[in-house]
Amino acid sequence: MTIPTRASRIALRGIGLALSVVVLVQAARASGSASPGTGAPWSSQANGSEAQSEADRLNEEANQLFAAGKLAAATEAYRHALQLEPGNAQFHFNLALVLGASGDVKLEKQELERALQLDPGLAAAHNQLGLLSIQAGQVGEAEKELKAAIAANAGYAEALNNLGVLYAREGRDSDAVEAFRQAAEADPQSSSAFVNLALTLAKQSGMDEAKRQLNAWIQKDPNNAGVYMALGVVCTRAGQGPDAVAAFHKAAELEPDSSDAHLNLGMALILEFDRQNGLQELKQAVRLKPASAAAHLSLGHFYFEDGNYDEARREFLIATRLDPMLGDAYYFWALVERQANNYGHAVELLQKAVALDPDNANTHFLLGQCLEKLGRTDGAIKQWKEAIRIDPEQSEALYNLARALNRLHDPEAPRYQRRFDELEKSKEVTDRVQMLRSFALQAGKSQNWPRAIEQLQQALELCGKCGSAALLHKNLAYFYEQTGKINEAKDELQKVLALTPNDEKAQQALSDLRSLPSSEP
Amino acid sequence: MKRSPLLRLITASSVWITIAVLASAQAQHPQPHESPPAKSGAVQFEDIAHQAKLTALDVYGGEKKKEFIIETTGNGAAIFDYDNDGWPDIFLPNGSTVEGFAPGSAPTGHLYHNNHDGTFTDVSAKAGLSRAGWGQGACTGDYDNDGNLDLLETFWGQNVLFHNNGDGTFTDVTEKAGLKTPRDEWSTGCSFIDYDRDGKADLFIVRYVDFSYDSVPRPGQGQWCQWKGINVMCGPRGLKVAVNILYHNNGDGTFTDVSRESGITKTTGCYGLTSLTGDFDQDGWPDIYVACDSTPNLLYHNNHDGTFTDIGHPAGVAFNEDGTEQAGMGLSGDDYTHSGMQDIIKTNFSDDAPTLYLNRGKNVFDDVTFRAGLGTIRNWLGWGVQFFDFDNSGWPGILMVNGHIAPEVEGKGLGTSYREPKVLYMNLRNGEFRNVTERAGSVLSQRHSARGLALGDLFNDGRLEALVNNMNEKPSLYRNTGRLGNFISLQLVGTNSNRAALGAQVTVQTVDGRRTQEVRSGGGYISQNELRLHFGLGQAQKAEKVTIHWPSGLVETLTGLSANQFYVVREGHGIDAAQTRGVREIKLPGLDPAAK
Repeated sequence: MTIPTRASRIALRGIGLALSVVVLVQAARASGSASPGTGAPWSSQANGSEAQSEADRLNEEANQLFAAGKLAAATEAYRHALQLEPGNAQFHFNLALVLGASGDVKLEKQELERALQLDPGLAAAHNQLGLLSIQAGQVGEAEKELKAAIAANAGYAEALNNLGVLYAREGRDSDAVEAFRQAAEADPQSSSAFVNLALTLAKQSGMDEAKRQLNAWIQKDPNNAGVYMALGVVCTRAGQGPDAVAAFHKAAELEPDSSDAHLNLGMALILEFDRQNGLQELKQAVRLKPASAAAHLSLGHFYFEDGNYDEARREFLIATRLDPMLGDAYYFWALVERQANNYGHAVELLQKAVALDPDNANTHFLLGQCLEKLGRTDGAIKQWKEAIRIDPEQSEALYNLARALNRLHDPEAPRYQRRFDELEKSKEVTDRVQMLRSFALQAGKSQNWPRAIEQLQQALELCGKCGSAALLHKNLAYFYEQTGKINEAKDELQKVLALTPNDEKAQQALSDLRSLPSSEP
Repeated sequence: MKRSPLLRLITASSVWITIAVLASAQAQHPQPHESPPAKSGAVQFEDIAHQAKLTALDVYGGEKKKEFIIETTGNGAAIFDYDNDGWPDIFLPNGSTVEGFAPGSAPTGHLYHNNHDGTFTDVSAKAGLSRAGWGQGACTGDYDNDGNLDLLETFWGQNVLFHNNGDGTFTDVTEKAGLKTPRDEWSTGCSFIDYDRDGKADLFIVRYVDFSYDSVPRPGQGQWCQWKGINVMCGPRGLKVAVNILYHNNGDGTFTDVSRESGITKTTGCYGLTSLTGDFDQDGWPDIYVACDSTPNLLYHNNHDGTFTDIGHPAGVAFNEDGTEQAGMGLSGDDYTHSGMQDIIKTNFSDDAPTLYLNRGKNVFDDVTFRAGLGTIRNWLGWGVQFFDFDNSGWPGILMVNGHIAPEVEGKGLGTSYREPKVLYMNLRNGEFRNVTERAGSVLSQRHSARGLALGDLFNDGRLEALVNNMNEKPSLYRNTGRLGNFISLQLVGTNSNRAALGAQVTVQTVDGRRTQEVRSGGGYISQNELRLHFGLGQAQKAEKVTIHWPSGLVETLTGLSANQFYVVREGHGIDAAQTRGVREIKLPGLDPAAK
């Protein structure tokens, strides 16, 4: 009776994603800054005296227009400034940023290269070129530019963070960790660097190690909100909800005006089923930063779960207006429309979601569902097939596809039906194995060794070569050891190593047992 | 995707398929009717359990905390005329506690004799139905065709078949009948069903979990032992599934377990709760649908040769529309769209909606929950459910009774509660329903941890009452005292078919349309409705035509049946005029006469 239903499964996906969205948003924002720490196009250092040139004035005007979202006018103003000072690298850089915001990547790149011709040491331009190369998938080029940015400015946190992101995506985790560490040291207030560092450490060495390093950092710098944010993210990923809440609470205390801190705290509270307080935090996140698409998305998700569909719809609409590239907002909005039987609108929204995130099996599945409701069975079948191509264990897509093909007397139907049946069977086995293992571990805690061993043996019999087999053998080895059955324990550890040869802990345990004198009862 | 020619073909096909779908949809949907306006007084429920002297307490597990899954499932409710006096009686199974009771003080099931005056008398001991233990549900059928309805009570333990002796007493014939199992099992729902159409009622029993106190972890000790951060009893996921059982009636007072040879055991694992029999594909042979908790539901299709095949997946009733498993608990079947076919409603867990499966024919169902307007209430945990023509309009609404499994959730701010209100839906006659709970009187909004639900016209006045077994409380008996339409009631008596006419399908046609019902054993939530079929006629003064498909295959047609009568129909002989009765006028104690 504790099966997550459609709504709660979506919730799990949504909450996790919202946290990721926060991280990604931070990274992108940080990497878009023109100069260290400013996050804005370059402004003249002139103090407004008569010495301020007309070009500087135009540049300032353009900056304000840019900030107000008036991109065309800002572009024109920057161009006028450049007409007056064509050799000003900073102006070329600012123009590049507004061209990029307008969607003209080619011209943006041209202006950045022009800026670097004029000033090869303009770190921000190297950083921005590095970012464009990451987006274009040009790994080598990206690395070159980001390293150039760092060479020009050794403490350039954003460039270091971006380099870390590049390395992480390429699977160069050690390099990524080093880059993120340097970024964090260069700018201890940059929460994105800490979060990225923590997640990469967790991937590399496990959550415990990541937590340990973050806690060590906190010892050195107890008022660093960024580290607490990172700790919160790691605890969330590790399923340690109360610890995550505590960490995010601290971050929000240290930075009460940080929308992201309140947003993450809100999500963590909701995950711990403290929905009312979670809602308050989400609302605070929106109040602090009305232009945060992530905050509106999370708030919309909350309303959706509560069945408050009108409010949910409103929030998703705002989120997509603030960030038209936020695929999840379209996805959840489509869920709202589907609840209201507005399948046509749901299809439109899901098509946008698919265009933004073509590798998301759930989106394809849901699009298939909505197409089928509209009688567009062929389209539905195509989407379900795509969902299964992306995730062969997307059981809902398998089920619906098998059913639809069956109705059409398609010869492929039995194949999908068989796959679905196998998946169902495997789920049943997994559930039972997990329960038996839990039961065994509890028996072990009470030192009821015969019961613990019996439960694990049952689990292993059921499991066969299932994914939990190695873990079960390891647990059984431990229980045998506790009861003095050393030979049986060794056998079990050998079975573990046959399944997972690189399990260092099992290797050590076997070695320890082998070094014991034989003492079978 | 290939371009132009294939694209055009697919587009054309899509258009064609769309048209075909629309066409078939129109053929199956009823002609649009105007939604009936909510007339004042049309729906007004009162709880008359106290006045009716239904006062025994249901005892079922811990009240503040439930450590084991056995403490959560609760009891069914049964309405049946055990003494053939024409007045339906009541049986309420009862449970137990983990701590148990001193000998002689354990709670037992309760048989209530209908006194014909709005009250009931507890005759459990006298009748021989005072059985203690972890009672679950009940179902009725006349397995020996002697004209007296027998009773099967399910247990965690040994089920009990009570033979009706015809003199107000019952005898436990479990062992003699061959129904005793070598070890204790956890049975939940049951249905008598003449699956092989040999004129003798066979027996299908649903099983839930292979359970003993020392076979499960404690609350919180494992993945399936928590709910929203609260430690709760473990399961059913992760526990060992049990196996449903089919008994063939040998015709000599005994049964034979034919589970294996019938194919009943050839299914995916099912934590079974309620069984719903029905000829869903109208091939003349009864099928069996089983609500399974957290596992795919089963639709055993009758192969006409003594075997069944589970077609739940291809039929579209194993999961919800997304292909997701649900926590299926209660079931009801009826023809809510007047298509002539039996649709199915199923209750599920909280954070989920009930599931409404529309029967499209040929063993195809569609989950139309959201389209029908049943998808918005998601915070209650549903158990007993019945299609319920509470206003005799001829268009059955839906009544659901709810209650959480864990008292521990009370006051935790999780958007639900242990004791929960009922939900009543009115049929809008266009495939949709409207929630009318609040308009139907405050009693439905009162909170209980409810489980079993059974319907019956207890007072022979043309109104169906709804009997609810509440966990660790006294039962509720809901009666709509508002203005009702006309009705007819049909009690079928088999002659070639099994005596209780289980499996008979009856279609009643009036000037306003037609509706089909079946005589069935079981359903609700491990419960039993009275076997008389009650048809609301709205404003019609008569049933123009009544068509009876008897289980034997005989089809009988009756015409021009006047409204507001209780008819007895004997297979092959038409209406038994001597047994036919009009409406009884009785004054219920403490209650004004209901509006006409």
